[in-house]
Amino acid sequence: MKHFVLAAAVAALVAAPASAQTLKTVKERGSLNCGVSQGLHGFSISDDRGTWSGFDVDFCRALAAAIFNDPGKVKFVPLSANERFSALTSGEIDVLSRNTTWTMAREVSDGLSFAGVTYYDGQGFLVPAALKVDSALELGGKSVCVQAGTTTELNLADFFSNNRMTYDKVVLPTAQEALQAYQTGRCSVLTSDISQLYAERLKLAKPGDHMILPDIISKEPLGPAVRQGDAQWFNIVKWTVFAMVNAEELGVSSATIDEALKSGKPDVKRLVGTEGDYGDQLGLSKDWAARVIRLVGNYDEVFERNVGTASQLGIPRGINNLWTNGGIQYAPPIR
Amino acid sequence: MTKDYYSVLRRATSALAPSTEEARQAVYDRARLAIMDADLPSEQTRSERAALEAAIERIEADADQAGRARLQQEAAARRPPVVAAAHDEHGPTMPALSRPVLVGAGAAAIALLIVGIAGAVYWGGRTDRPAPAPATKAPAVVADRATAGSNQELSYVFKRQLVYYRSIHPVGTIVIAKSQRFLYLVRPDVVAMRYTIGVGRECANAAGLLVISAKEGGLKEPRLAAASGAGADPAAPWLNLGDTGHRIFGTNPPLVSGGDGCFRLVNEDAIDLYDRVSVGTRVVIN
Repeated sequence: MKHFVLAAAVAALVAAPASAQTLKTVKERGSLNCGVSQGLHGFSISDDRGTWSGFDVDFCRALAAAIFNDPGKVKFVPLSANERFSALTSGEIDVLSRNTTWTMAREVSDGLSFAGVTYYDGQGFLVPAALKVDSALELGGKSVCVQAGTTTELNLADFFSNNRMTYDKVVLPTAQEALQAYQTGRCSVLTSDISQLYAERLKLAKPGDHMILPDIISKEPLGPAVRQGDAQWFNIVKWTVFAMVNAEELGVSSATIDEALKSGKPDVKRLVGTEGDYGDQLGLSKDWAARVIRLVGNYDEVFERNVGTASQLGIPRGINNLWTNGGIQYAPPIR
Repeated sequence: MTKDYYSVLRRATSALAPSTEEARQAVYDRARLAIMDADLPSEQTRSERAALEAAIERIEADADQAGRARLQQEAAARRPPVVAAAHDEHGPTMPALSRPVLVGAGAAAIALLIVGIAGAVYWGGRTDRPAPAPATKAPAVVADRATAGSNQELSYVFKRQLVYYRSIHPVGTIVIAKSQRFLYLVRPDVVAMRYTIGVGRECANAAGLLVISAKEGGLKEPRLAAASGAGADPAAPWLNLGDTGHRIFGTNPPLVSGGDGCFRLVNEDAIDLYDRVSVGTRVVIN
């Protein structure tokens, strides 16, 4: 068994001699190369001056803060859905933070490793508030607009049949036409991934007249991915995400980081680096997480300002709440 | 037409190591559930259940005797108490975690064969296991048995309790998780009250959103009778689900199938739930 593990480790080193050096390469280069979407409201979008912002963007800024103590040392590489994986495996980018769903195939055949789930997305329903329903379970008999040939269409059929409800399906070739059909009243319900529904809702004449139901009928866990073969780099990305979630749970934010550095609570001390040498062991500094929290914020801050109720999208935390608040965001402890 | 539950239970409980009261109760509960799940005509259920309870009493009487004999032996051997405690401490930890589960499942399988049911029963999903018995208490437990008689206490997991529960459904909603055989009443702060239920075959396909359309049987006297555990009580409360004909209702003794309808609770639980919900409460079945 030991021999096998050793052989596998050697094989991995031989197969990817350069890839095990990501941190070193990034430090030498002086900036992080981060793959993002070509423009998705709230997640990654660039303004007129070429400044990137968004939920996915902030996780790359957090990595830069942890490594360089400077969230600005990131080069953002906008990528199409087709280019994103090869950009990562070829070494063009160091990390992919582009609303990408964690699936098995992407790990076992595309050579990616997902470092965590920063956003639990899933299929949901947009309805006019005037419809007066609180739950997708009350949509029986309604007409539903859906984009053709997608898993969305299949999930929709499963959901209604599993809950013994009937519906009229209105199938449209594109997402845009589906929204249009919903707007003109050809259907009373629109279904898609929830993050997308929030963005679509903004395009409606009176967004406030429409609501997204709390039900989630499919799993779309989104998170940052790295290429396989560099355990140190994988740990850095993974624990940066975990540190942000743990910071929220411990009540440490960019506003309270100075107090936190003086805290006597053991779990806070381990997080901000006043106890232990977890940062050194990652190949970073003791205060790596404190830098992230000070310069970018904890998970809650990043969520709220980009996609949350403090943003234009207005997505409630919902399932992305901490596990202690009814959601499923949960980070292993730093210890 | 009832079966020899005594030999089945004896086989199952004699394989328990150690044979603590808690581990035995878990075996009994599984047997009780097996009968409940068999969907037999109600008279037959009652007679099977009576036979089972009689067998349980016999087994427990045996255990009492064995316990007394063991205490005498120990006294005779003058084992230092420290050694005895250490022995007992090791006893329950490891085997209690794995063996009662296996043995319980084995007993369940045998019980199923005997009652003559196939397929319809849901064993596999029950991954809960009896909590390890308090380590050093084994002799005390044996002594307690004498006063406990044939109590029909359920294992802890099956008892009504508050649990951590995430839900998108509003506070006050009832969520019936058929495959888990639990009913949850959603409360604030990620908590729900959880009740163990029996699910009748006629509800295998029930799903979706319903509302409580009527509450019945909530009169004071029948409820007192039901709470006393004095046997099946036709006046135990029930909750009608929409116009489906399905109900949430109580039966006594605990977890025995009582007539038609699908979602069966212990009478005490039915009363507890009855008091917490009103007509119009949303019920989500999944």
